[in-house]
Amino acid sequence: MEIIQIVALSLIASILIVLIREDRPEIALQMTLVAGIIIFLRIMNQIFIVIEFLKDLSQKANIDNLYISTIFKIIGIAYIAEFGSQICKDAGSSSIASKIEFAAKILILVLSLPILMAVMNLILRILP
Amino acid sequence: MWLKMIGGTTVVISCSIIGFIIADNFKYRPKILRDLQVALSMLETEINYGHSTLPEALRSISRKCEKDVAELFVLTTNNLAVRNGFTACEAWEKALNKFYNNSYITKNDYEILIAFGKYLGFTDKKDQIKNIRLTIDNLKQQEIMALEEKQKNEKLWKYLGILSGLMIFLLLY
Amino acid sequence: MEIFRNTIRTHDIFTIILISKRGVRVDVDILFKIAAIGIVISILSKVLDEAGRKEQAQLTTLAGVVIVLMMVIQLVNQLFSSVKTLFQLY
Repeated sequence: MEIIQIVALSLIASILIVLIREDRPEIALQMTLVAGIIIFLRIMNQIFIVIEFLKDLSQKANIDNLYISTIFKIIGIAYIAEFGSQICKDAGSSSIASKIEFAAKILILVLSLPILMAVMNLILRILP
Repeated sequence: MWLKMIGGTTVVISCSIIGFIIADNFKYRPKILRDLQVALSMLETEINYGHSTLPEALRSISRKCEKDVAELFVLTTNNLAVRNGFTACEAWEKALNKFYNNSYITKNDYEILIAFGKYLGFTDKKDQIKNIRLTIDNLKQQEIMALEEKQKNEKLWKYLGILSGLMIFLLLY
Repeated sequence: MEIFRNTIRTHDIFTIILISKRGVRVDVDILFKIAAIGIVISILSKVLDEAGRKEQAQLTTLAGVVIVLMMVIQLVNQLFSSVKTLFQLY
């Protein structure tokens, strides 16, 4: 079962990180980074399956491809931004972490502007 | 998999042996300097009270002193016994060159001993004894410095050997 | 003949399990490697510090971080390219 391997990996990583953190905090930080990356790469297959399923569903429901791809892009930006911001917080630079989150919010807003414009046009067309 | 383990173990062991050999340089040097001083003071006693010739004095010292410096005196005695017209100075230098290659003394000690050899067997008893005392003092100073170096460096090189072996093993694993 | 075919089939399954299990071992291996490098670097730095060569101790710390970074950067590259293809962020 995939979850057992992932939990075992994280337990081993946490124990090693506690061992190293006092003497070499910089190497402990890189170990947390590596552990996170490995877990994500393991899960990637399952994420792919879910995304394909959502794409199928959206095609069957006749939703425009633009919208669903925008949603996926927003999810991707959010995930990478949270990954980076958590690692920066672990390294002690929470100010940089909040800047990363701020940049992600702006980018997501920019990505969703066309959809907002489309909704505005729709509403304006309905109103007399 | 097993081949990797065997290769890795070989790398670690060989690197630690190199580290140990370098550490041995620092470990044995004070001892040799101490033994050289003892042998030279034995020579001084022989010259002062023994009334023997230089080759006989050197031969009896080579039998009495510690094993690691005995070789130097044995070689000098052999060079003098060959009777090829060597002066005592040349015999001492030849023996010293051979001794220097196989032993733990450094260039500084070599220079001190060469300077000792220059006055060997030339002058009278009092000057010989002064020469020997001067050399013993120089060697004592070197011994003090060598003890300091030993304390700093011996453990360092042992650890360096083992740890660099481990590091190379980890990087290539 | 039947027994022969059966043994070949179990051998195939065995190799498949072995390959998938090797995927597990590869990831944990990097973690152990980084931890071992960290421990060796900290001992080395302490020994050099005690022998009085403080600047060389600092240099070994730096070298350790650079070595681990070189190993980690490949993984980070893999992460970013997978996220790019997965969420169509290119």
